[in-house]
Amino acid sequence: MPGSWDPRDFPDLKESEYSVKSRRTGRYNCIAWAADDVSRYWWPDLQHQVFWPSSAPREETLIAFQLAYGSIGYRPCNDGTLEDGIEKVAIFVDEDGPTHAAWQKPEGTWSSKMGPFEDIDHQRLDLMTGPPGRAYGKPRAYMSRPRQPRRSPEL
Amino acid sequence: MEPILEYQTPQACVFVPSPPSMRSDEVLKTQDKLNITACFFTVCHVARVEHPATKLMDDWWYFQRLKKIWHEERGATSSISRIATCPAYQSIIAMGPAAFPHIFRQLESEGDEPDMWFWALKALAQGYDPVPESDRGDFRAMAQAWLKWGRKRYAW
Repeated sequence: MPGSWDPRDFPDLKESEYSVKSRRTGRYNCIAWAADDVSRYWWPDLQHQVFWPSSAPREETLIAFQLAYGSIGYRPCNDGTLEDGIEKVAIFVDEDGPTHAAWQKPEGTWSSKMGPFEDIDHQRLDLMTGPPGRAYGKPRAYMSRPRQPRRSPEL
Repeated sequence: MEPILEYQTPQACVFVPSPPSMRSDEVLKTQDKLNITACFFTVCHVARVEHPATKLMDDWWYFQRLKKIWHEERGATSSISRIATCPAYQSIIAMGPAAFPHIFRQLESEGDEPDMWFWALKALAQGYDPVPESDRGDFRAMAQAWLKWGRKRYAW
């Protein structure tokens, strides 16, 4: 089953490269999903309308996103290689700043919430590129912490 | 401090015919004239008068059109700043207070899946935000707070 987004936005993300794991919802976003929080939307918006950890600055910079994940125990690491007992997030950046985050499942696949669309599982992180301003750019930072039981159910 | 906003109520559309032109026939008697004029009245210029309800309907279709374009423009982004700066979203904000009833109607129709109308609402409310700090990011709670605020001021 294909996702609901416009496939032209992610030309490399072929249907054979991912599987849809949730229904479509806009109530949480990729940053919240990677942080294991489906109860609210995470973003450092300047109007202070949605959730953002108080220990991180409300700015759309990579360091602000790293500090946000740092508030829940993540620390910077070198790459997205699967490590036993460790869970990782990858933070994506394009020319305008952070765009997306993906979370690594225990078996090594990555899980992404696609904006206001579905959650998907995908094997590779380099499929999120596409037209500027439409796709997510490239993973620029990785963070890790000891793997914890996932609280958020797949919807 | 909350801004003072106009209360808007939808009203019925009114159609008013333009002044009729009657074929004059001075030979006919009065009753005949009336019968004939019933046939010859030309009401081909049925004018749609500018009316608050008419404007409300026009605004609603305009709003719906902008919403559709906005969904295409924002794509799969999570960035609220990118979502809110889409041209169509900005056009909705540019509608001014007239956008309030349409956004509330739309938000209410979305039920448990409220869309990201909160930026526009806060902008239109001149920075006021009825959402408690503890509910920031919880779209369902945010929608309820805004709808409660809206019901005191608007009908939709």
